[in-house]
Parts: sequence; structure tokens; C-alpha cells
Amino acid sequence: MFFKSLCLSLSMLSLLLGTTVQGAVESTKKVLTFTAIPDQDQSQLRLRFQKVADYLASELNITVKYIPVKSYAAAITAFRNNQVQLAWFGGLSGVRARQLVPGSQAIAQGVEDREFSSYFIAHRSAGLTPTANFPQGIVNKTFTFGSKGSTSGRLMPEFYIRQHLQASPQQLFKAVGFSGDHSLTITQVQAGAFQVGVVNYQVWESMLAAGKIDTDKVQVIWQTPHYTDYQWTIRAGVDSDFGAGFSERVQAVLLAITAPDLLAQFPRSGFIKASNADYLAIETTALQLDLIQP
Amino acid sequence: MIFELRDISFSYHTKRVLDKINLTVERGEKLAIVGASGVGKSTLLNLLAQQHPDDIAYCTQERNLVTGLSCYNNIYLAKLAEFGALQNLCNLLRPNPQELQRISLIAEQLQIADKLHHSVETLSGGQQQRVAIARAFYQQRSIFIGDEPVSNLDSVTARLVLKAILKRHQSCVIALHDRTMALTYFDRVVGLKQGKIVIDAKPADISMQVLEQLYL
Amino acid sequence: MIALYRGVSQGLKLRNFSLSLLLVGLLAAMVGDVQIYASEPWQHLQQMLLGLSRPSVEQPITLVYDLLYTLAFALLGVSLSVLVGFALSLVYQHWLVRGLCAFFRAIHELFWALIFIQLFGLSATSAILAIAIPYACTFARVFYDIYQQAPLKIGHLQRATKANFSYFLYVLIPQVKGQMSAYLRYRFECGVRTSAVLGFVGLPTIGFHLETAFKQGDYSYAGALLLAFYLLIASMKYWLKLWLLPLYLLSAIYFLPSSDFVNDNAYIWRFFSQDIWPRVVQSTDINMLEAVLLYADWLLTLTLQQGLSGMVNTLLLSIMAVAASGLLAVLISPVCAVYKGHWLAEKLLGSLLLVMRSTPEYILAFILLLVLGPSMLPAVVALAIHNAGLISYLLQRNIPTTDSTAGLTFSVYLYRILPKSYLQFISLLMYRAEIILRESAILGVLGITTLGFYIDSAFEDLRFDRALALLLITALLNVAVDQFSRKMQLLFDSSHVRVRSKE
Repeated sequence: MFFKSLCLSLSMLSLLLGTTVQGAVESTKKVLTFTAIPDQDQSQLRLRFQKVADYLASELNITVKYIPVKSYAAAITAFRNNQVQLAWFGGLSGVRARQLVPGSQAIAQGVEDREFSSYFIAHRSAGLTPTANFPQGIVNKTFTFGSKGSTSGRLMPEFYIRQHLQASPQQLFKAVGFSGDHSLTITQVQAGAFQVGVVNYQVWESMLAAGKIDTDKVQVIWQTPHYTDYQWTIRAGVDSDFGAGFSERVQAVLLAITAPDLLAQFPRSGFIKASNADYLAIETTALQLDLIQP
Repeated sequence: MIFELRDISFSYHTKRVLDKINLTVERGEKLAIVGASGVGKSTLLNLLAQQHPDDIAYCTQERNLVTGLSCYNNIYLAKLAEFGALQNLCNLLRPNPQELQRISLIAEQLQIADKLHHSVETLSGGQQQRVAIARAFYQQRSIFIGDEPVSNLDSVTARLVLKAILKRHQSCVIALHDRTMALTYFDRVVGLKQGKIVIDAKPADISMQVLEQLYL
Repeated sequence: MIALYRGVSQGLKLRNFSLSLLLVGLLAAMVGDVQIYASEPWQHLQQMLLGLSRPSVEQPITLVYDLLYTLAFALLGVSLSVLVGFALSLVYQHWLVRGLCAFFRAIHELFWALIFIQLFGLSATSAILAIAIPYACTFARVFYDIYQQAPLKIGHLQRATKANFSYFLYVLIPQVKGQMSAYLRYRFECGVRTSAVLGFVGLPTIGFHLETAFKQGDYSYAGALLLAFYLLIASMKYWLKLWLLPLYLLSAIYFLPSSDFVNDNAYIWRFFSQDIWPRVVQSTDINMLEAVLLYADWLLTLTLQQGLSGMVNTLLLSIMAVAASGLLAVLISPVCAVYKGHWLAEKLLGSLLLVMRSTPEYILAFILLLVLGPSMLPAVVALAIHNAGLISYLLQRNIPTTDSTAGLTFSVYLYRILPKSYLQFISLLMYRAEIILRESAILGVLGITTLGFYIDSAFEDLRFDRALALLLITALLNVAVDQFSRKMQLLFDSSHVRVRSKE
């Protein structure tokens, strides 16, 4: 029995190898696929962006698909490998993606993204109070960032920490964590697992509005200065794949979003034009922190 | 002459097992080796078996049966090197009819034909012993070396099997503890005591009493 | 230390070894960061427990597909690895094969997945290969070890050196096939766990939604997913029959998810020709020697910056986790043995062990982090729970159900079961040491700068050059640990080579 099963299984597997190595067949139908960085509430991402996909499909008159990804890096990889041609990136992920696929363009950003910021939040056990200036008291506390590749949860906060305290987070804090996303940062600081954390201000505000935050336990102690964040980036080569002027069409369609229901998915009050140049500051900062290569 | 040992000694660690042994065996001889346990019989057989292994069917006391394998395949195992790997593999999946017939004949002679397709560890000690002998028969060698090959069998079967062994092989060297059988079926008896050969004669020239002395 | 083991009885050797392991664990705890940070997790934990105890699913069909994909990847990945591993086990005595296997084994399935995702996208191929490669190398080692345990060696029979493979088939395999198929069954269970964990990096298995549910605090969904997963694993012994395997493989191939990813050899070429090399060596106007020197220099810098501290922390964490796993298993195993045969207690303990070994460490660590705060402690406890659950499960599988009406008391356990199973316990623990080393890698979320933390960061930063170099360092560390654990096992090898002298 042992040997017979083994021999049969052998033939099954050769069959498998035949099928997988062959890989997916290239589809001839043009489908615009897009993704978004999983910055918060991943369980709702598919729901949120399916609405966006439906809108784009009806406006652009082609099939539009949304694929969910698990990490910032996965979103960038999908973009790089042409698995997606359009993506809702954060500041840093956008810079990385455009560096990997030269010729890609930032085409639109939320109105709020021009003046984005992060909140430093603290558990009450840290004994920190809100300040207008950088909170020097966070030194020697336990501290958590969001995702390693996040602009508002990692890049900009680390930049301000280094700027004000002249040392790396690992040297400054008793422990440094990377929670993975913004909602998780809030959960962990609220539970006191970390004393201090840093989050995307919008995620904080929306969780606060949803009643998910106990302000007796965790509060905002400092707001960073403004920087530019999220944007829609379109991949180089779409104009030849989908027809000349396709990027402009997509840009126009995105800028034309006015339905409150759609805007609430991001959440943004509206979209405005963006360009690669808007993210030069982010790029410089990322270079300084060795998060991208020249 | 098929075997020759001259002034051979052998030790395990510091214990001397064989002490200056001189022994020659002629082709066609049927030789019984008798002696108390631990006297060096198995060591002596081992030394002989190494002399020309390709002509010898060697049946050791350990039997070397493979648990989990059927009796048939345990017997077939003896000739693995003579067949190709592919044929051996196929034989595992379905017994080769030709070899199965050959082995069945041997098994019938040894009265284990009904157990041929049973896993070997389900057999009694005596049956396992006969599987080991069947393996030796299957090789069709001219010389048989056996270390207590019939010790686990009842006396009737033991005699039957021993006669079969002697009939199938031109020359035999067999260690035995049954003195009567040694004197009845063999044409030469060698007695070992404390690593030395103390008896080497035809059965007709040896009395039972002399043999009993070996065990004192 | 070796003096402790020279010329003493087996029992004393084992006692001394266990005590020194515990001591080393404690020493590591003194050096490493195992502080408990005061926190107020109770409200959140209450919410979590409440959710977990009330499992609910909004879309049962998604759950069914998650489970199907998880199973399909596991079945195909493990089956593939059995074949390759079996072939490798035949040549495992060769140092090169042994080294390469230890090397590939050292890389965690999640990291294999991250590499293959670069090459084949989020596809079935990536998932199957991520399981198959490390599993094949594990099979090679374990099969080889199993052959060594066969009572009758080929050497006892074989006179001619030819027809080696036939002797292997006829002599070794029949003796160990029981052990091999038991191991195979166990590895299929592991494969399902691994397949589930692959969801954490985005492959469409149950881990995908499990991780999301935990992160988002959707605990009743998480509870439903975990429950479904436990049931799947618990039911495996009823439906996973070797003779049905061909049928399962066929269905698995049929059910494989299709992927939108278009294979492009250019991506594969780009990965190997550019992505994994640092910029400094990619310049065209340098010769081979300069490139090698530049790479060495780059590697040295990386090792000093990340590799060394990563290695130290990885080792500290692993040593603590091994000691803690051993300690916990020593506490649980007697209870399991004593209650074997008591219907209700046995079922309860069985479920406990199932939960312990099947809950992904990542999820355990996440919960523990909330309670204990960010130190090595949550990681150590998570690893200890998982591995102690596994070791106890494997040990109690071998204890025969007591047929005497007297039952098994603690004293009987001490005198009859323990002496037999303790050696096996130690050797299981040594096997797990290697696996703990790998698993410590994925607990980077706690902010402990293990090698895994840096590797994860490198993948997150899309710095595959760093990822590769760090994986290399990890693999070498694993090879060293593998050698060490093999040496430790040899200390207890009671079969002495018989010395023969011939005049």
C-alpha cells in the first residue's frame, strides 16, 4: 500500500508541475487593476475599494479590478510587476514605486494630503501631557511605530524624532515596536503595551469619531508639522497599453470624484492634481533615513 | 579443499575467543561443529564465511530477517544483486511469477508455503528460522554454512530440514547443539572447547560420552 | 561541560543535560530583555475573549474557500517535498547535501514566500514552493535519521556493493515504513499550519483573514476562523489516509486558485541579476575581483550594523525559548500520560494540546504583547506554548493506552513511561531548537531585533540585497546550531561501535 500510494502520488505531482510551471495564461482583454496600501482596517478595504473600482469602471468604460494586498511592500511589488497599473499609495510607498518603475506619475492626491500630519499618542501611564513643542519626555519610554514602510507611522515621525533628539529611536527608547498598521498602534498604546506611539492623524480622528478610543487611557500629546502624503500613482506604459491619453483620462476621472459616499472611503473631502515633484521632500527624508537608495 | 585456517586466533576486545585454530575442509564434506555456548563456534563460522562469500549460503543465528517485509520478499532478498533495480521495484508491487514459483517450491519443502505472503514478524520463531533457511536455499550455492539453523524446530521437523540442507548443498559446515544429530547426519564432527579444537573425527570414531565432555 | 557527560550513566547524563539547559536558559534571560511592562490590557482582553467565545462569520463561503486553499497548498507542497526529500535522504550522508539542506531549512517559509512572491506573484506556485523547499530539506534529514534507527542494517546482509538501491528498498524501507508514514502524517498537519501562516504575507489561505481579524479587533470573526482551523486539524486523522492521497492531490490541483499574475521570465532574471546584489557591485566598469572585494566590504558593514546584534538576539531568544519549551513540556507531559484513558480528561487535554500547537505563534505573541509589553518575554512564552504543545503531543502519541484496570498513576509514569520517553523528549527538543531559531524570526513585530526583524525590514524596504545577505547569515547560524544539536544528541547515543581486533 505504501509503495502503491507513493507511485500514484508521483504521477499526480508530475501533473501538478506541468500545470503550475506553465503559469497563468496571458489574458487578451484589457483590465485595469489597482490596489491600495493596507494602512488601516483591512477587513473593510475590499468593501471600500470595490466602490471605487465600480466608479472607475463606469467612468472609464473598461473592466476595473481591485486586488487587496497584505503589506506596503506587496503593494509596491504588485505595481512593479505590472500586476496593478494604478495604486493608492502613501508618500513613501509612492516614492518607492515610482523609483522602481521610472516614468510612473503621481496624478492625484486628497485635499488633506497637502497638509498631512501624524499624532504622537501616549498611554496615561507615561505621564505625558499635550505640548505644542516636540515632547522631549518620550525618551526612555516604550514606543511603537506603525508599519515599517508607512509615511505617517514611520518615516516622518522618525525624521522628527531624530531631528529633535539627535539620536536613533533604538537608542532613545526602551523598546521600539512596529505594530503593522495605524489601528493596531492605537490598540496597543491604549492597552498600555506600549507607552507612546505614533499614528496617521486621520485614522485617529475616524476611530475617535467611531467611539473606539478611550481618551482616559490614551491621548494625543503632539502633532507633527505638515507634510505631503497619500496619492494616486499611475504606472508608466499605461498610455501604450490602454490607448493614448489614458493617464489624463484616469486623472480627470479621479479629480471628478464628488460623491460623498466615494470620498468617505478614503476619507478625503476631494481630490486635487498631484505631481512627482510634490514628493521631493519625502524622497529626501527617506534618503536620509536610508529607507530608499539614491 | 574449500576452507583452510592455519594457526588462527581471534579476540573481541581483550577476550580471546579462538586460540590457534587449524582447520581444513574438503569439497563435499559435511561438517558439524559442536561445543558449549560462547566457545567460539559463531566466530569460527564467520571466519570461514569470509573466505569465498560468493559460493556460500550463510545462515547466521541472527537470521537477519527484515520486519515489515513478507516472507516471500525476505527470501527473494537473497538475490537482489542479481536483478536490476527496476525489476526489484516491480517485484515489491507484484511478485515476479517465475521467482514466486521457485520460492514456493522451497517453501513447500520447508513447510512454510502457507505463510509466504505473511509479514515475517507475525511468524513463530521456528517458522522464521525456516524462512532464513529458505533464503539460503534460494541462492543455490554449493556451500552451506549454518549457525544453529534448526535449533528452534521440533525434532521431527529439525531432522527433515537438516536432511534437506545436507542434500541441497555439496559441502556443509553447521554448528549444532544436538549431539545425536551431529553424529547421525554428518561425516565429520569438530568439537570446540575454550577456543581450541579438541575433537576432529568421523562420527563412527566418537562416542557420545566424549561429546558430553565438551559441555562440562 | 563535556565532563558532565563522560562516563556517567544514561539517566545521569540526561539529568545533567536538562539542568544545564535550564541554567543556560536562565543565563540568557539575565542577559536578554525579559522585563514585564505594566499595562492595562484587561478591558481589551475581555473584549477579545468575548469575541472569541462568540464566533461568527458573515460570509461562510469565503471561509470555505480559505480552508480549501489552505489544504490544497499544504497537500501539494508537502507531497512534492516528500518526493524531493526522499530522494535527498538517499544521499544525505554527503556533507554537501547535508549542508545545503540545513541551509535551505534555515529560511522560514514566510521568507521563502516573500522571495517567491517576487518571482511568481501572489500565486499557488509561490505558496507550494514556499512549503515544498524547506519541507523537502526537513524530510531529507528526518528520513535519513529514521533509516539509522532501523534495527537491521544493510551491512548485515549485503555482500556485493552493487544493487544498493534495491537493498535500500528491501531492507531499510520495510523496517521503517511505519515510522515514516507516522512522520508523514504529522508533517501534513504541520503543512496545513504552515500553509495557514502563509496567509500573513498575502497568499489566499486562512491566515490572510485571521491576521486581519486579529489586527482589526474583529474577534468573533477571528474566533470563527480559529475554530474552523482547529476542527480541520483535529479531523485530519479521520480523513487523511495514505491510500486516498492521490484522490486528494487531484482535487487539490483542481481547486488551486487562479492568479492574475502573468509569469514573466524577465522578473525572474531581474531578481537574480539585479535585485539581490547591492548597488556597489552592479557598476559595469569594475572587474570580478573588485566586485568581490566591494561585496565583502558591503557585507561586513551590514554584518556589523545588523547581522551581529541580530544573531545575538536570535540566539538569546532561541535559548530561552528552548529552555522554556522544555520546562513547559516536562510539566504537561505527565498530566497527559496520567489522564490517558480517562475519556473526558483525555479529550480535554487533547484539545488543549491542539490549541497550543495549532495557534500560530504570531497570534499568540500578539495577545501576549498586550499583556506583557514589548520585551522578549511574549516571544519566549509564545514559542514555549507552541513547542511544548507540539512536543507533549508527539510524546503522548507513543504512550500505549493502559490496558490494566489500575490505570497509570504518577508513580507508574515516573518509573515506566518517563525513562523510556525522556531520551525521545530530549531529541525532540533538539529538533525543535532548530525550528525555534527559525520561528524567532517572524516575531519581529515585537520590536526585538532578531535576524528575522532585519530580514523583514529588508523585504519591507524592498532591499533584496540585504534580505539575501541576512538570510545567508541566518542560514549559516542554523547550520552551526544544527551541528551543535547533532553533537548533543550523539552524547546520548548508547550504541557503541564494537571494536574488533584480529590477529
